[in-house]
Amino acid sequence: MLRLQNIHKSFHRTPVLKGISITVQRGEVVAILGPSGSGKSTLLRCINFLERPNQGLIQLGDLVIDAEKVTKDEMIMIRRSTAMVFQNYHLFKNKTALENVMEGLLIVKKLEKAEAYQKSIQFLEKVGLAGRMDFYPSQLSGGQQQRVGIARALAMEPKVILFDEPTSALDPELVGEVLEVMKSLAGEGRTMIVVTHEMNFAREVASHVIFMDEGLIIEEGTAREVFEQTRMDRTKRFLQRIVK
Amino acid sequence: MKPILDFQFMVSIVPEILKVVPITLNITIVAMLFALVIGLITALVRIYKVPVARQIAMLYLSFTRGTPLLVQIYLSYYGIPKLLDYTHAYYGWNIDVNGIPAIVFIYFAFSLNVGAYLSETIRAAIQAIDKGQMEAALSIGMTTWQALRRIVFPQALAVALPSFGNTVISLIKDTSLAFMISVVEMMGEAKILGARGLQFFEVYIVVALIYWMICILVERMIAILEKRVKHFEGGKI
Repeated sequence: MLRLQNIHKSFHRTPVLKGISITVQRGEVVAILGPSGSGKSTLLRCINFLERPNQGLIQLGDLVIDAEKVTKDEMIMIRRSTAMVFQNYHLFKNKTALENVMEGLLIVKKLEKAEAYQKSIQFLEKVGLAGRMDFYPSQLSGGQQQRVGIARALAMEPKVILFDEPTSALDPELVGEVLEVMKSLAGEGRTMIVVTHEMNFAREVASHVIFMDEGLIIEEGTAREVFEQTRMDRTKRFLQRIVK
Repeated sequence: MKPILDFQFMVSIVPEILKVVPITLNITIVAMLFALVIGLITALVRIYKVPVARQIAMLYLSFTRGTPLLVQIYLSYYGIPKLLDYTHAYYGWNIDVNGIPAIVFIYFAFSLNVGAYLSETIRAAIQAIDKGQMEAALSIGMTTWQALRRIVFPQALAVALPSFGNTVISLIKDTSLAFMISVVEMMGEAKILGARGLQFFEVYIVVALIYWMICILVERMIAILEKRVKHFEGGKI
């Protein structure tokens, strides 16, 4: 359903992605692992054009975009069929939890206010935060903010949800509540691409694991293949350092 | 010996000066509104590095900040009619330039002057907002303009409001220059009253007190506004 082909991206002539190709099927949960600076977040951000790849093809459903010739409309179209959950949540600070979820429904999907309200409450309930709907982000804990971030993403009914290190900024005791929500989404058969350092999550939940280093895919396969039948030395060294 | 101040006279001119306070406020409000539009446009042009428009904006900002307001008022007062006369002759229009009230030139000069200062404030305020706010808005499919209008501007307003307040206060006091091209606002009225009995000291004391009162009131209003705009920063719970 989502296909990336030969994605290249450089920042100021420093290559960060050196030709990445991935295919993601509907309902798959793909975990992208790798050391920092390996380009995994950049890759994720290239999918919805928060970074513009210098070269490559991105296909999502019927939409095929050549990164070199991408238009504003195409960028908006791909953003409207994806959603992103950010490392630092990036909730709209001037809006309440409820308004954060409603915003896209009202402005992008152009729903009636009453309908957007009903839907938003449902999504907040799903992440267990309907009781906090009138709180501003500054009044919520990190874990709660991230769950609102997930509700905001879900509300857009995206074909694929992109998670950019969703638990990295959280206090350790708050990581669990966010991972729980993500697991339940995976269980519903949602298509997710997750850049993460949570090896247990990748191992238990991901149907496909990708290991990246220095802008290239070093190894990929099922969680079992990558974690237990690791082929590449680079991956082994990385996993040894992270998984005790 | 005569007393140092003629209090009776001072009290008697208060109503006459209050009568023209609306003109001072009118210049302030009109100039501020136009200045906000000019400031916002030039700030965006600079942030998004719009070619050509950016160079024009830089030139305008540099000139406006590098010349005295009084000079700008004169340039507007003498320059605009000349320019209009010239274009009228060129296109064969026929509009009476002398019919334009002097306050229009004041609006023009003050709007451009204050716009230049607001441009800097607005640019800094917009850039102070975490880039993630814009990215989050784009990621759910909003256009850049929707993201600016709904997410970035309201947050930037909270940042910029104290500066806006200072600008309004300065502007109120600067309107005293309007009399230089014969717009009778508070200062103009004071000069006329003072000349009547050569009691300039008394008149200027009264005028100073009234400016001061107006500025205190405006400061209060801005403080209230600030609270409202910043409601979302809220307390931790």
